[in-house]
Parts: sequence; C-alpha cells; structure tokens
Amino acid sequence: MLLYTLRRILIMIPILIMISIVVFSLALAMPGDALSGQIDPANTDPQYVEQMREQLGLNDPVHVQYARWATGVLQWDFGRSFNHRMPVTELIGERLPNTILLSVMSLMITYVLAFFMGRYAGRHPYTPGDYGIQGLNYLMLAIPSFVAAIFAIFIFSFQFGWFPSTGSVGSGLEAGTWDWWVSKIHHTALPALVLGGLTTASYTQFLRNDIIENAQKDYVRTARAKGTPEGTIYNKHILRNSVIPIITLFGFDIASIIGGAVIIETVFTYRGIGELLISSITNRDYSVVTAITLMLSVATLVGNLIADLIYGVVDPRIRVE
Amino acid sequence: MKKSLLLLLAMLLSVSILVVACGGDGDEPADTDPDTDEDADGADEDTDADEADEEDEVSQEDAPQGGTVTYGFTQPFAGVFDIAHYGGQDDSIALNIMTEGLVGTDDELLPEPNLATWEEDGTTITFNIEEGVYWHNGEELTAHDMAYTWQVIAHPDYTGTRQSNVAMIVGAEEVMNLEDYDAEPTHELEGVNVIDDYTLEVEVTSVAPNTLLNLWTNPIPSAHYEGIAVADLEESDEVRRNPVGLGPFQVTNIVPGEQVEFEAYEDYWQGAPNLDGVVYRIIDGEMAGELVQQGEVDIIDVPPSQAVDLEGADGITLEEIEALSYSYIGFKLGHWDGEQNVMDNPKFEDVRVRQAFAHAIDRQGIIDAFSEGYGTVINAPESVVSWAFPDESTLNQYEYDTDRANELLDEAGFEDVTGDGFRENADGEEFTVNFMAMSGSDISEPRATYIVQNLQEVGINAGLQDGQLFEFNLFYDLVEEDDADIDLFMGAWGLAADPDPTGLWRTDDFWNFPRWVNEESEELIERGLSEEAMDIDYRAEVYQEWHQLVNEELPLIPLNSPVDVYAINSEVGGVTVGVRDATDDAHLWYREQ
Amino acid sequence: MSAALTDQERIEELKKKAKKQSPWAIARRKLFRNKLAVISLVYLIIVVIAAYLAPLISPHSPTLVDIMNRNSPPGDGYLLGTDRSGRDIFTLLLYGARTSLTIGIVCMIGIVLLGTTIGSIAGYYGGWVDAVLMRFTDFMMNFPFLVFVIVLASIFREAGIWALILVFIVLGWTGAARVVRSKMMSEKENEYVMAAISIGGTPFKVIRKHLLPNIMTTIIVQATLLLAVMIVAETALSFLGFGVPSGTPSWGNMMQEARSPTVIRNSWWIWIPPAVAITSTILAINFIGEGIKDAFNPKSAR
Repeated sequence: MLLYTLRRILIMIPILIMISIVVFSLALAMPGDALSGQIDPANTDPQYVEQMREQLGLNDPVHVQYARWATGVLQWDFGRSFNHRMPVTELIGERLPNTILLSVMSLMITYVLAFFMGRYAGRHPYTPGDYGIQGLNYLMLAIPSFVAAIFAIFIFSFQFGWFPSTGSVGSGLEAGTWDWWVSKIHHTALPALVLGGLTTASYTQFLRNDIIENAQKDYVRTARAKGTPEGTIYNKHILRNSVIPIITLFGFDIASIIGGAVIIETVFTYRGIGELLISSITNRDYSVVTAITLMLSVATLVGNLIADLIYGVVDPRIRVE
Repeated sequence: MKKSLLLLLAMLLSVSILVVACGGDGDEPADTDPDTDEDADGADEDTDADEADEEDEVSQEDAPQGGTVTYGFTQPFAGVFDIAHYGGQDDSIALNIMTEGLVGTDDELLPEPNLATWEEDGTTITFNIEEGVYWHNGEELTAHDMAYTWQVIAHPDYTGTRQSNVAMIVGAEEVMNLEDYDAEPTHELEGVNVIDDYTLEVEVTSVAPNTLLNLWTNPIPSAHYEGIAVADLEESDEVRRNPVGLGPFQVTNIVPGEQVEFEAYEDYWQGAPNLDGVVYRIIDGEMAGELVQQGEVDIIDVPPSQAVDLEGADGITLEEIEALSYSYIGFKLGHWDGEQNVMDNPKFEDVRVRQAFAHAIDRQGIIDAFSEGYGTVINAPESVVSWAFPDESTLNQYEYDTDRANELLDEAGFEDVTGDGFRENADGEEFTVNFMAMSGSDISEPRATYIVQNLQEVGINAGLQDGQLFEFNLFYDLVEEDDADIDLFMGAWGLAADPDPTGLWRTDDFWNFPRWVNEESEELIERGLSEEAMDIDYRAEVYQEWHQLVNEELPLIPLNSPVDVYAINSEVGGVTVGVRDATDDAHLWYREQ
Repeated sequence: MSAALTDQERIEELKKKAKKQSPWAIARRKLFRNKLAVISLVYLIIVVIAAYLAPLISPHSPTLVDIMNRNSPPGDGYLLGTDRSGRDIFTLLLYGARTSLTIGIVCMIGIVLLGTTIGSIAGYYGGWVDAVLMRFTDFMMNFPFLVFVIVLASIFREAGIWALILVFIVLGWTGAARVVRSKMMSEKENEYVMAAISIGGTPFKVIRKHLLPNIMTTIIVQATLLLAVMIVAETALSFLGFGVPSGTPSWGNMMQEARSPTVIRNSWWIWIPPAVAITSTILAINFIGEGIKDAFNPKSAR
C-alpha cells in the first residue's frame, strides 16, 4: 500500500508542473499583471505600464518569468492583490476557513441524506416511498445549483425566515465566541444544504442499487435461512457491504464541491474562495484569480489522488496494476 | 453581486469609482488641474462640524450611550487608511469615521472652520489650530503635523494623487522636482512657516477664490509615521494595520476588504462619542436593502430600486440627499492630440443636431424608470447641490419632444433621402450613431437600450457600440483615447466642492471628454478664478453665464443630478447624511437600546 | 394491416419483419414504449419548435425596453408578466430558449466530434498513441471545469459567443473521449473488425464504416448527457455574468435578475419561468437519455 501511495504521489509531480504551466499561461493571457498584482489596472498610461512592466520583470523571457513565479509559489508567495493591497495568500487565508466549513457541512449533509434515503429505497424497492425518492433524485440531478439556491432562498429565507440569505456570519460578533459560531453555522446551513443536497442524488441511487443487489446474494439468503431478523440483515450485513463503495466517491466529491462552491457562494454572497474568485474577476484583481485557479486545480488533483488511494484500500486489486 | 461583480446602480457607482479613476491617473503630466474630483473628497472630509458643536451638549446628555452601529458599503475597500494617500470612496468612508481635517465645508459647499480657523490675506493664509486635539496614539495635533503632510505630498517619492493640492504652495514645485533628495519627507517648503504649535502660515503662488478648497488641509500623524520613507508609507503597517486618526472612533481591527472595527475614542476633541463602537462592513450591493431589514447593517446608501421596496418598511428610516455628481451623454467632437483638445469631428458640428438629440431623449422617463424617480433632470453640467448651479429658468429646457427633435433635424438638413427609415446627414451620406455605455448594474443594459430606442424614434440610425456594453475600465480607456467608433457616450462625474470647471472643460484638459473647444468658455472659466471672483456673487454670475453658454452649445447632454437614498435603522439616531456619505459627526450617532 | 391479406401472407410478412428488424428498430420501439421518454421527447420538440418560431408566436420584441410596463405581474396583455425593463417574460423565454438551446447543441456537437475523434484514435491504435492521448485526457480532467470556464470566459469576453462555445468544447471533451475509447477497445476485438482490417481497409474506413456504427448508441447517450450539461453550463455562466452578453435574451441572463433579493422576494414571475424552463428541459433531456440507454440495452425488459 505504501509503495502504491508513493507511486501515485510521484506521478502527481509532473502533472502538477504541467498544471502550473497552464495556469501561468492563463495568467499571461489575462489583462494587466496577473502574476504579481502590482500594476494598477485602471491606469492605462502606456509610459506607466511600460515602466512597471520593466521594473517587475514582465518583459523578461517567458521561462524566466515562469521560474520566478514558480519559485514564489513554492515559497507560498502568490504576489499581491491590487484591490486589497495585501499578499494574496493572506487574502485567501481569510476566506479558506469559510469554504472548508461549507464543504464539510455539505459533505455531511450529502452522506446523511444519501444514507437514509438510499437505505430506505434499497430496503423497500418499488414501493411508493422508493418511487418518491427516485423522483426526487431525478429532480435533483436536473436542477442547476444556482436555480436550487434561488428556490432555497425564496422558500427558506423569505417565506419561512429560517435562514439568512446572505453572508457568512452575522455582524457585531466577536470571532471565536459561542454566538459567533452559532451565527456562522446558521449562515452556512442553507448553502450547505443546497450544495450537499444536489450531490445526494447519485449517492442515494448508488446505495439503493447496491442494497437491492446485495439482498439477492447468497450470504444474505443464508442469513435469512438461519432466521436472522430482517432488520439485522439489512443493518448489519448488507449496509456494511454497501457503504464501503460509497466512501470511494469521496475524492471525486472534492472536485464537484469546488465547482459547486463557486456558484453557491456567489448566490449566497458567502465569503469563501469561490466568491473571492468571482469578485476578483469582476474587479480585475487578476493576481488573486491566478492564485485561486491554481489552488483549485491542485485541490482537484489531490481529490482525484485521494479517490485513487481510497479505491486502492477498498479494492486491493487496483494496487497491482 | 460583485459583481461581480460589479454591482448595481451603475450611475452612482460609476461616479464613486470615477473619482478613483481620476485619482489613479493623477501622475499623468496633463493632470495638474487644481480641481478634479479627488480634491473634493479631501475638502469635504468633515462637513457641518459647527452644527455639531451647537448640538453637542444637548445630544451628548440626552442620547442613549453605548451600542454599536454598522455602516455598510458595497465595494471592497483597498485598505489605504491614510487620508493623503487613499484612492476611492471605499477607503474614504472608513477614514471619515476615524479622522478629520482643519477645514470643512458647509451646506453651501463653502469652506468652514473645523480643527482650525484661518485668515486669508492676499497670498498668505494663517491657520490657527484648535488646542487639545489628540491623535488616537495620544500625540497632540500640532502645526508641525500639517507641515509634515504637505512635505509628504510634495515629496518626489509620494505615491498618492494629491500633488495638485499642494502645488500652489510657494516652493512646492521645487521640492517635487528635486533630483537629489532624502527618502524621508525632510524637505521644507519655502512657503510654509510654522509659527508655533498651533499657528501655521502658508504662502501660495497666486490669489484665487478657491484656494482654501483646493489646498490640502487634512493632516496626517507625523509622529506615528516617523522614520518611514515616503515611498513606503502607503504600504506600511502604520497605514494598513494600525492607522491613527483624529476622529471620534479609532480602529481596533481590520479584516482586509471586508470589515473595519472601530471603538469610541474617549478623548475625541468634541467629547466622547455616544456609541461604544462602529463597524464598517462591505456587503453585496444587491443585498443592501435586505441586510438593513435584517438589522445586519444600520446605515447604508441603497440604490433606488431597493429604496422603493424599503419605503414604509418597519424599523427603517429613509433619508434622501442630492448627490454631488451628475450623469451625461457626451458627443465626441474631436480628439486629444497629446497636449490639448482639437475639435475636428464634423459629425455633430451642427448645434441643431445636438439639440435635437437632447429633445429626443426621454430624460425624465429614464429617471422614473431606472432610478425610480430619485433624481432631477438638469440642463447644466453641475450638481444641483452646488451654489453655482445656474438658474434653470434661464436655460433651454430640452424637454422630451420628438416633434421638436424631428423639426431641428429637418432644419439641419438631416433627412431620410434613401427611404430606409433612417436619416442621412446634411450631405446625404449615411448617418449612423454608435452609443457607448458602461455595464455594471442590472439597469445598465435596459437604460442604454432605451436611449438608443429614443434616438431611433426620431429617425437616427443609432445602436449600441459593438452591440454591447463596456466594463467600467475599458469604457474609460476607449473614451480617453477617443476611439474612432465612439459617437455618443454616457458617463458621470463626481464633482469637487468648488464649482470651477477647470479640469473637465478647458482646451488643455485631458478629462474634457467631448473634446469641446470654445474661446468664450475659456475666458469665462478664467474670469471665474480671477481676483475679482473673490466676490462670490460676481463668481456666481460668471458661472451662470458659462452654464448658459454650455447649455446653448450642448457639447454634452446633462442627464440628471442623482439623489442618494440612505436606509437607516430606526433604532439608530443622530445620523447626518452628506453629499458623499453619511459619516459626518459620527460621535453624535446613538442607538436606542 | 390490410384485410385483403390472407393469414398465410400475414404470417409470412411478420416473419420477414422480425428477421429484418434491425437493433435500431427494436430500440425505437422500446423507446416509444417508455412513456416518460416519449412525454419528454414531445416536450422537448415543442420547446425547440417554439424557440425557433419565436417571432411568429410572440407579438412582443425581446429587446424593446418599455418603461411604461415595467415589472408587471402576469395578465394584461403579458402572458407571464414583464421584467424590470418592461420586456415580456414569455417572449424572453422563447428567444432565451433559442440562445440557450443553440449554444447547448453546438457545444454538444463540437464535443462529440472532438471526443469521438480522440477516443476513436486512441482506442483503435492502442499502444503508445493510446497512452499519449489518454495521459493528455487524464491531464485535462484534472482541471475544475467550471472554474476554468469562468476564468477563460472572462479573459475572452470581448470575443463573443463563439469564444464561449470554443471554451466549452475545449474543456468539455474529456469524458466523451474516455467513453468512446473504452468502447472502441472492446469492439475492436471482434472478428468482423479483424476481417475488415485483413482485407486491407484503411483505419479511417474501418473506424467509420465498422466501428463507429457499433458504438453509436454509446455516443448518442453521451450526447444527450452532454447536451444537458452544456445547457446548465451556459445558464450558470450567464447567470454569473460571464456568459452571453446582457441584452441577448438567454435563460441564464433571465435568471440573472434573481441576483437581486428584491426580485426573488417580490417578483416571482420574473425568475420562476426561466427556472422552471431550465429544470424541465434538463429533466426531459435526462429522461430521453435514460430512455435511449434502456432501449439499446438488450437486457432491459421494456
């Protein structure tokens, strides 16, 4: 297993370098100065721009620029945000905890919902309850996240007034206090519900089908023949076998959450990385855009790696390949 | 949303950013005009300080004590918390809560004493600074701070945009042009004379009626900045992390781009504030109304579309104030040749055509539909707030009248000879009009489309340039370089407190976007700054005449003078809304518990 | 069936028919027996026809700003009310469908072509060609789709709708390529392919004539899925303000109005119609996709 893990990680390194080259090329294509964020994008005086470019080394050959940028990135230096006039890493550091909280909560919601719905549908297949859950699944697969988010705001924030429709924490609260945490969770709940709820569909379906399939297997028949109660059969024997494959989907979730978070955070003006990406694009704060793009790409890569690794744990045959 | 990002309320937004845009380009040589927009920001930091004094005793005793108020804004702040360096309104709101200047402006936008009184004698101005005013770090405000501030701004390494506000001081130009200099602001200006801790004499190069408004009078803390090179000041922690001011609230915590937390400064010179603290919070523009209703934000400038929904809402007071800005549709009449404006574009050279356009555009309808009626149709390029706003009855009204527009176009010989439904120009050539407008809010697109429709109704073959709207920066880039495709463009100006048109209207003004050149106008603008104009009545008359000229010649069609609407939580009292923000007299704010 | 035929003839004919029936015909029959898929197909066809005949259906202009009739609820000459610029929602819905569907379809076609080409080449040749192409595909898959679409779309914003479509295609082909490749590999093992190669068929001819028709079902299923994904991507991007220019009617641009809480709260008629249109269209496409998958699945009962 260790060898397998090491090999996977080693394979990642050239991919990482290639990704960084792609992001770097994108940064060069962006208007202004997307690498260091030192040139005022509103100032178009050619003399000023030329002088700044010369000073910042933006007229150097591309590979020199790349080397300089990559060295910076390795030292956790992504340049400065022109709008916020501070290091990009610091800015992202402010937002990252929010995105992580949102992701964790949405993952929890996904697993809990999928577990209960999938278990119910799998135990009672082809009943009205099952059909109801299936119908819900189809709907959740079809509805785009931003549409779901707006419906959620309309219903839960405006009609019922249960959740705030915007922001990541209430104002006037001191960070770290009990009230602050409560407010934070309260603000995160609705976006997390939308983000988590939509990914539930595929999990539920997977679990349901797996349970139905397992229910036909010999070991279940044996258990049943021995007179084991139905409840025990489902909860102990089948579920244990059906839940494991679901865990392997976790890694891929990271990738899907990243895309989802960009939209959900923007709709809810939830102050996370995704919202920062969108607002930085709007404000032409391209050094931030470059940094976030790179970070999210790396996160996706790591997500795929985790998926591979977990898969290797669950299904040892994979490791031999 | 942030919109994107960019947010909503294109017009007001553009005004506030425009102030930044002007500032951002301040280091261009062409831009040493003493009067563009950012100056106004400075001159206007603290209005109504006098009234504050009078009300002081009463409200101090009666007002409930304690509590926190949240002030909202919709653009992330840059975090340059130094009054001599900041760029836009995003930072100025926070600065206005934490510091103030020697001179304020009154309701008429004329200078009034704040931290200092002054005497003007020819080219010499003497300031007498209030004793017992303390910076948040405990140092007393002295004449030395003010002298230091001028030295910083005049320093060759200075990174801000306020040089034009000290350029009139004798000796300032010399310091600015020093080849060999100290990195720290140690170069004395010849015209500045510190008499004692509270008295300061400054000599300016020439007499002008607007010297006091143009001269920089907002001190920065010299002791706090000691040992920092001028070039590093803007990025220093002393500015960005623990800024120090003279105002009623001091900064306790800064969450970059999101929130600034303030606590009451007990030693504030006008007495301790009523509140315990203030939070300056950045929110999404679309959410402004929503957040006020939820009580998340207590004071915020809301766009008209949201203001309408808040009318009559429980627990919210709406306060309206006319803004110090105007929006317009400009004609491109020429180009900038690098030194000055050259009026050489024949397209709109016939004044009747320009006037016809003005009649064709439903300006009241635009205000009613897209600003929910908040705003006034104007026929002069000036905010209605200003004392120099002309008597409208002496101006052509250019009311929405398609018949009149058609008539004027016919007279000018613009007739449809080809029979395609659109007019050709006087020579019978194809006449198409590209209209260029900014994107940025949910009303930008329909508003621009509506204006195009208005023009089409009188037979003008008008269309949006490239069939789209332009993002703010790109829009101004193209307007500035007189892009050949632009015929008409819709912009807005945030104005200075002083009504002098220099900066936006003269032959050698880069910001004269219509590229309008007129000798009579030149002469009138000069007369408005002459010694005779020290008499305000005379000066008002000159500007009246100038506005009549512009109104007749119509190099641009003034659209409206907007109204800012502030939504204020009804629990919060003592708030005075000003022409730029509602931060005046923050020490009088209170909260009913 | 004509009554003139004798029983004998009828049996003969039925026999012939059963023999002749291609897998396509079977699939078609199966598909038409799937009620959900049929209803979805009918719905989608109606949407497409309505979208492309919009000027004939609606008396209103999709772009004309009418400041006298802004934000008015359904009724009063406006079937679904008007938005905040006084544009008829129903008209916008029709013209919006045109934009959103066209972009979706063009992207889908582009992706299918690109994905099938790359997948076919990799699957057919195998070996190092496959290794190189699949490494590349894996590599492309590492990029978070939405993030890159947004960033690229914002960089090439001025270039218009075609740039947007190109961005979608360049970032979207990986999944299709993978599926086609694996299908191709298994199909290639069949003897008829060997035979075709042995009689001297060029790779291009073998792929086109023998392999592609056999993996067509997979491609069709992929295409329906992609169509749904691309429509969602376009609407999401326009909703965020990076898609089709504002002023061009599109479902995403219509949803953009719902960025304002005031609209969500008070003007439901502005955002619910496009929201329902997008969701129901995606739902219909998904059902059709499921139906096709089922129909071509020899194991399925229906």
